[in-house]
Amino acid sequence: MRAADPHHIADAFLDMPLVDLHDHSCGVVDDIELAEIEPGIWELAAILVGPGAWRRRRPRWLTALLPKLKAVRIAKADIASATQVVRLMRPAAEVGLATTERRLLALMGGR
Amino acid sequence: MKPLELTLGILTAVGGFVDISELVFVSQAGARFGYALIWVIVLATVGIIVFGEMSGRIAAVSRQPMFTIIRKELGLTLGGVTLIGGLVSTLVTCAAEIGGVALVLQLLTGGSYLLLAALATTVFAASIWLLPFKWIERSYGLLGLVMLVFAAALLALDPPWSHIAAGLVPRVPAGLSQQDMLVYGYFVVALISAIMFPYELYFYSSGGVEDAWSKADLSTNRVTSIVGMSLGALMAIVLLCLAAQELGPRGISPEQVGAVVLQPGLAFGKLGVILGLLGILTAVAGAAIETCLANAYAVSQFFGWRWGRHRPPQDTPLFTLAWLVVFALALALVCTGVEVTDLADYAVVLSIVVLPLSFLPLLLAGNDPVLMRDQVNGPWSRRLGWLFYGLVVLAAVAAVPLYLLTLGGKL
Repeated sequence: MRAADPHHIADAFLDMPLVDLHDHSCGVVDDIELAEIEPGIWELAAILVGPGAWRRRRPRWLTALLPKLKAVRIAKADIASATQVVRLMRPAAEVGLATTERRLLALMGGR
Repeated sequence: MKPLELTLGILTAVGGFVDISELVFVSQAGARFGYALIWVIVLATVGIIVFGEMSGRIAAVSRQPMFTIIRKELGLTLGGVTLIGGLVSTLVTCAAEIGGVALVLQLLTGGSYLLLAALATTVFAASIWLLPFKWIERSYGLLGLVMLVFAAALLALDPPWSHIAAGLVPRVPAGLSQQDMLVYGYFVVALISAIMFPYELYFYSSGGVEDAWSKADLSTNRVTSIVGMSLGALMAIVLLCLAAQELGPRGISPEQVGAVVLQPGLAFGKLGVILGLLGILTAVAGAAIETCLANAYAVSQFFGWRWGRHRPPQDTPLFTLAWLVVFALALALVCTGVEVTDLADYAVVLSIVVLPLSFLPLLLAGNDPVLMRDQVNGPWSRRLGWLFYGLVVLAAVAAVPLYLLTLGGKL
């Protein structure tokens, strides 16, 4: 997605639920990376997922209180579509999402 | 619209409408102020119908549950504040429901309160784990219809219909002292909160998404929310009228569940008391399960975990862990020895404070033509939505000062 106003890209992606190739929920878009592809034109470069990506968005006092947390970076090339949800082109495991959930699934024998 | 599904949906809504906070507050309101607060029940019911229908419509059109909408509309920080507020208020409500169930079981069996609370929580957890979701929803909702014994008792006791009708008109009773006026104000706020609990919408909207509602289900959503919640509100009015007629004049303050179940006994003797206890037991048990699941839905949707009760628990591990933790924390709260009525007090005050943050995203999403397309809020939904939003904000601002000034309505 390209736009002259980066806020339009942020509105379209931030806080959108993520589903992977198998239609499983695997997080929420916590932050985005933008690239200025030509003067005044911005494009989505990647989405960031996980508490580590909250750094720019949460109050400073909270950032100071929380330890350094992990964020997963998903490049634009791995995003299939973005409408009501952001759909990925690969399974969550391949892009490193939903790690705790996958560990628990294995533990509990879920699918 | 499938007639059987619709009828069951309505009956479930009626049976599931009453919870421990409503029981406590409508009975206290009736005993203390007679029929003068009936209008608040009617007003708050219209409010919950407006927002309930809106949340169901948003779920059907956008396929998004409430906390996904809340996070998208309010963003990470304010959405996070709403999540924490919603989790705390709903956890306290869940604890109040578990305590209420334990009290009723104690009245029925004479057993230990804490042991019965632990037993009830285990049964709730087992039924969520083992039973299909529809069975849970329908069985607790439909069994809650035993509460109709209260309506039968009111009819049998020949109520003063003219006084009841007068209670439908908003007014402050004449001759109240300044202190009574404050308590009256507290009950207005508490009744609004008890009827418009945010967990009801978290639960309803998530159910719509789980049932894969589409535009074809919009009529079912409309009829279920309007008819089901209206009939549920009638039950609340019945409880208030019974307390106004039978408890207030005798100087009985229904601060304990036991006083509330006396009422069908006045009309039908021992059988009435037993049916009243069973009705309250199932209605409050259903509410305990709803509140627990509502919290698990909220946290799972906010963080994008797999969620839902239509899937086996092991396929939604974090969601499953979430509702197990909610039950454990709620039981721990009960075990601290806090009175059920105090828990109900905290629940309504905390909930009303969270309500404006929970309802605003719904209004914004319902008014968004890009998200809702041809199902965007019409002029009446929009007007009523903002009107009730204003009312909820006023109630939220007044709630804590009134609670402190009236010692939770106990002055």
